[in-house]
Amino acid sequence: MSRLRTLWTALLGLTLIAVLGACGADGSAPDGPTVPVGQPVSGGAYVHALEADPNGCLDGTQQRYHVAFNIIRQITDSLVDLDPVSGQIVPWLAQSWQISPDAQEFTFKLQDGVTFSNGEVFDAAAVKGNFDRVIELGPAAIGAYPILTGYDRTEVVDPLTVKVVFSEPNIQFLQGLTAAWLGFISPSDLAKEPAAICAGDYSGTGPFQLDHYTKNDEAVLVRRAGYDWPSAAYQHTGEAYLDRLVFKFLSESGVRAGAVQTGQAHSISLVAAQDESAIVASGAELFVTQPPGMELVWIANQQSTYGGDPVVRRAIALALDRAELLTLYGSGFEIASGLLGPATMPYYVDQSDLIQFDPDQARTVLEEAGWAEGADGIRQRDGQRLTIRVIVALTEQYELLQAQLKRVGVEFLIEALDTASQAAATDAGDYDFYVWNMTRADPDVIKAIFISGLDGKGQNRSWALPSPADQYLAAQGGAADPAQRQADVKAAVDYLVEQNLAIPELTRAWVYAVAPTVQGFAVDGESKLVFYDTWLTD
Amino acid sequence: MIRYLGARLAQAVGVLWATFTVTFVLLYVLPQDPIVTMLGARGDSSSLDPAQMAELRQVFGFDQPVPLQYLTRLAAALRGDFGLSVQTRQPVLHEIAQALPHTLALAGLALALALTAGVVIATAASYATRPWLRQVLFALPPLGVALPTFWVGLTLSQWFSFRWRLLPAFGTDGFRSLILPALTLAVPVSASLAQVLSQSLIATWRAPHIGLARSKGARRWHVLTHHVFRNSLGPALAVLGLTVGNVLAGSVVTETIFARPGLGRLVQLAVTEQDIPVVQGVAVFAAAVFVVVNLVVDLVQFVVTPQLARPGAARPVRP
Repeated sequence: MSRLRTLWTALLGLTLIAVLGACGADGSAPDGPTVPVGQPVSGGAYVHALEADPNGCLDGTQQRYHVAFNIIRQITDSLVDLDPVSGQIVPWLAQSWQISPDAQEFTFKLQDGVTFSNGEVFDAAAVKGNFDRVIELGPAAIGAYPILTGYDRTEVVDPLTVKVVFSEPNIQFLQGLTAAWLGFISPSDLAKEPAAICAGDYSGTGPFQLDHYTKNDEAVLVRRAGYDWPSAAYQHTGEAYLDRLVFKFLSESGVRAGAVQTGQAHSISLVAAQDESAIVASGAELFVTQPPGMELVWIANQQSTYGGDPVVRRAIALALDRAELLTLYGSGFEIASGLLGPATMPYYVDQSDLIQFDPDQARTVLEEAGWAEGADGIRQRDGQRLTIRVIVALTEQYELLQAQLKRVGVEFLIEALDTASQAAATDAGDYDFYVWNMTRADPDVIKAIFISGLDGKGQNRSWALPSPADQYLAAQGGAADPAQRQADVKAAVDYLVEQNLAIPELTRAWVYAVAPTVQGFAVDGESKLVFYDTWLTD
Repeated sequence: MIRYLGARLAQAVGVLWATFTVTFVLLYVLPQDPIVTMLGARGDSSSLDPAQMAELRQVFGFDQPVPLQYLTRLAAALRGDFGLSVQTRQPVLHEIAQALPHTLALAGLALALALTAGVVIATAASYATRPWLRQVLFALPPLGVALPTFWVGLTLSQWFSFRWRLLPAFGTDGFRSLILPALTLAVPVSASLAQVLSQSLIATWRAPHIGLARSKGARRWHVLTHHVFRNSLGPALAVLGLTVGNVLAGSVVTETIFARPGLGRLVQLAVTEQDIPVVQGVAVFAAAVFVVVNLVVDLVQFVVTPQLARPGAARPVRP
């Protein structure tokens, strides 16, 4: 019989609340909840302006769009939660859990007395039904399905004990459970059409329930009566404070800014850099959070001409003037300090010594490899121009990047692709570098991107060839021992960055603006909004 | 009368058929694989396995030969069935029906404002006798046409909503939330109406029978209301038909700025998300509205001036 390692995380969670409270009091935690002033008051209708419609779908299982999760997170709960300050996994609907040493069996003890908003009971059978639904949906469960890689079965041990069994090690499962893509819907909803569930026709166990959702207009949530099973990362117990929670979809940044300055919205997402000073002047506060995961990174296409050339990769890594790129952005953006980040991210590795700006060195490297400067400043070798093809998710960087690379003799042609053409180029691997970031508070986020043998499938933007990174990327996914996993992650990210197969660029930030009447504005461990602790002062 | 009506109706049906066919060719036939295009826009085509792609292809009918697809879709469209939205998997007609009331309210108020403002400005400009006043009034319509809708919308919300806090800048809560978007949409529409009407009014003022009326001692106001205005309405009426097209086009920008869930926002998002059935559905629907309105305008003109329908007569004026 295998020895099971037990994590008495309930205790840990309680300790964390105490620690969190202390952090909040002196305001030293930049990503933590805003410092509450006075006694929380129950009641009020709250308006938050999101930057877009949730793409017509409020089913977490069928979603991968961050805007949608900001709404869904209020309606459904998860088995475990990720504490935004400590980066630790804490109890939620599961009071405690055990992971087998081979990271293939996960056993959860569930909270008693949890119900869905339609009155149905949350128990082991409900957990099994929800996980089985993800497998039935298959790849259409675009967020949740990859978390259940190697899923074999879920066993109902007793009504409050459930065991999830995988056919291969899957340590990232625990962290994957924290996100709203594996939030639970009631057993009677499971048989409904995917389109109906997308439209919001389901019941969750969350602190709010959906009143109505009108595409392109609003989603209106109301407080769930009798709610008393918050995650250990939250600040209070019992019901949420707000009576009513309204999400509006305002795509114009100027309109969002005006809305929060005039009280038409209590808070807004995605504050534009140019609006920050006016918002602060109006008395509203900025709330800045850096989403954990893979930083904004230049991913080399290892099967392309220049992405596969170590000299060109090194030259680009040295030529990027990250400080200059920062001038494009507002609060919270920083020069990346590694492939994973920010520093609060679980299994973070500080690689700042590997990230340098040295254009002279870049020129030397290219010169030594025989790339001679042509008449127009662009280098050539054997009649071949050094022109790289890059897909950049953040198009505002185009002009600066073009100028920075030209300084060392590398040509970067700006191709403004529409979404469909960009998807086609991505699928075909028709690029040398792909500049991308990915939010997920688990180092497993880089595995699918950088492991070899996938040849561009899924998130494999690197079209990776076999390398020493493979064994570490695979090993960290099966390492149940945190120290071993940390060592594997460090070996993988160090190899990728030293070889410039991944060139970290910037840390991204989400900037929210919050009106002065709002207390307890907060995000979860993956920077999604959580309104459970939020209240209004008048 | 019957023959005229029949010819106009046949023309209307022809326009609708052409719209359907052109959008079909542009949206379904020209790009490589519509399923890849549609899912590619969501960035997840590569995560789908081939079996699932085949299944989706079947759901949307892309496994059929193109001519058969065309006929099937045309037959379905005649029954009002434009297929399912890729994004929400809801029938396209349901999506349109949900968005339509919001656009109707907006367009209705915008048209009413535009008509009032257009007629008042054009009439005042042609009636005014002080040169500086005339010049100012005549300069207004070209200015209104030249202002970009998004600028007007953002400026109006900046002043009326954010600075003076008189009206909401977004939402669909009651009449107050309708005012700023309707004003935004009314500016270009009233301007083009005023431009045409004022030109027509000037031409009529110079006509010989007006001179005759004036020489008989009729007052200017009497001449305006009894002779000039009626005779100048033709071109403005014809422009009104085209205006409906402007309103639909303007709703894309207006509804986006003011976050209203109408047809314009629906089509704008459908285009960025490559939701092909929705784009086609809205395009054909917009064409239908346009065609019907112009048919009605033609009939009204026919009632006003029956000689238009006589063989060899001039066609209605189309500026």
